[in-house]
Amino acid sequence: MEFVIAKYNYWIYIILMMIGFYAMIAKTNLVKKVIGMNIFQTAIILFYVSTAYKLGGATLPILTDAQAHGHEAVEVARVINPLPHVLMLTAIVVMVATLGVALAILIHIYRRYKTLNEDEILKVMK
Amino acid sequence: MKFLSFLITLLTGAVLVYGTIDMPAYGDPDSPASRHVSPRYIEKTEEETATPNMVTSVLADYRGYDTMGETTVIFTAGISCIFLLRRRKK
Amino acid sequence: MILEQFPFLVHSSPVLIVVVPLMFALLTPVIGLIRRDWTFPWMILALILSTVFSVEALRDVMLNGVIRYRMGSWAPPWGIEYVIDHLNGLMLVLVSGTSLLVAVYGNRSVEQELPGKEVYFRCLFLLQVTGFLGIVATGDAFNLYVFLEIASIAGYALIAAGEDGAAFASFRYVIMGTVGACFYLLSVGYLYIVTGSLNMADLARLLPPLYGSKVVLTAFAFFMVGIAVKMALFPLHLWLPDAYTKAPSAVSALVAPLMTKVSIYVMIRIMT
Repeated sequence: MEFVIAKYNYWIYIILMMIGFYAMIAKTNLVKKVIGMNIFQTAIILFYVSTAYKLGGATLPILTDAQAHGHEAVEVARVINPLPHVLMLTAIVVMVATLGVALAILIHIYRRYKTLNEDEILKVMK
Repeated sequence: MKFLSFLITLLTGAVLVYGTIDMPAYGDPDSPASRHVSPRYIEKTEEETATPNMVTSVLADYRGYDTMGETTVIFTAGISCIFLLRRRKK
Repeated sequence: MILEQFPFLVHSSPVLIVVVPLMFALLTPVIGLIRRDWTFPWMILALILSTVFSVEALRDVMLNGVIRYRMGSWAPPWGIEYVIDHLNGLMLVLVSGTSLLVAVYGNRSVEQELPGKEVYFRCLFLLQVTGFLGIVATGDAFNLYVFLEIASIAGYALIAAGEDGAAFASFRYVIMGTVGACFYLLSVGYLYIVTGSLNMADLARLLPPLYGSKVVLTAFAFFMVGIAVKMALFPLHLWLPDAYTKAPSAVSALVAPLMTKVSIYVMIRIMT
């Protein structure tokens, strides 16, 4: 069982992802689907960020004054990995943009059909 | 229908967990992700980009093209919202 | 083309193919505020320039071999690069040429079906073409995700503006397209965790010793499912018929050939 304990961060975020994924495909209210999409994407972002950590008291990826002026050397194993953070900044922005467009489409649907329940909309469309 | 969705969700979660078996443990400083590309970002950020903040230097200098793509995504979302929601005042 | 004897343009033609429609799209609403009729020649000019640059890039590839263009002059695993080889060059010419033709001949139907919104339609059209060209031209896996999302978001909005059931068809496309893109992002994440690099050529070098590992197998499975959703491969094709029939005609003509075929290109690129 020790591989579960060693990688508990991955497991937690996978459970969160699956909660969001289930909401996205199984609920019939359109707003709940959008919220599920948001949970799913946020869990992916947290999953990536959690891979950047280094045990043993590693610090943030910002140089202190002494290190910046060259007085003190930078040890790679004491500073956490900055690359996943950068990728996830872009992914957060993409997530917000997709959420905005999905909600705009929902407003458009509401103005036309006056309901936000998928089954009723499908019945009206037939 | 909901039972089928639940099954698909469980299957996807199981495949994801199966994939984590071979991954490096949490916080391992020797993992491939922290040995291949990142050391150059950490060590050379002051001399190559004159920025003490490593995340900024990667975001704006080494990978600045991704940042341009991200601002384009925001612009596209804004134009999409105007396109979909604007109504002519009759 | 004998026009480009300026070596600067030929040398940086891979990035100009993608950036020219982007810059023109950013200025399209401004032009639309001055005079609405000028947005159509503006859009056609952007697509003509993009087609010319992509033909130039293809000619350069056929004469000199594979082009590798580094963004900001950083060497590949630490920076982003654009790789144009023969497959790429041909697809770039096809995508930009097709979008030029659709833009010219679809103009009349746009004016009929979407009165009063043509400026924003043309802006979104150019942005979607930018997204497709970026997907085809890039050599970095995360950059591909960013441009995939640009093309997808423009596609969601364009399809939702059609006739009666279009908004619901577009919503279904939003949900399934987001699932596909997120699965792609997960697979890139798994590959990053186990190799440490995001560049496609670098991954092709680092992956063969790891082929038996469960992480690579899972990453490949998620990549296939994600791209299959975008490509409308059989069990996951539910969003396709409604989205194509209910969208405005010019949008159907643009999205129908390009979105799915660009996804097939991505699948070919990862397999090799």
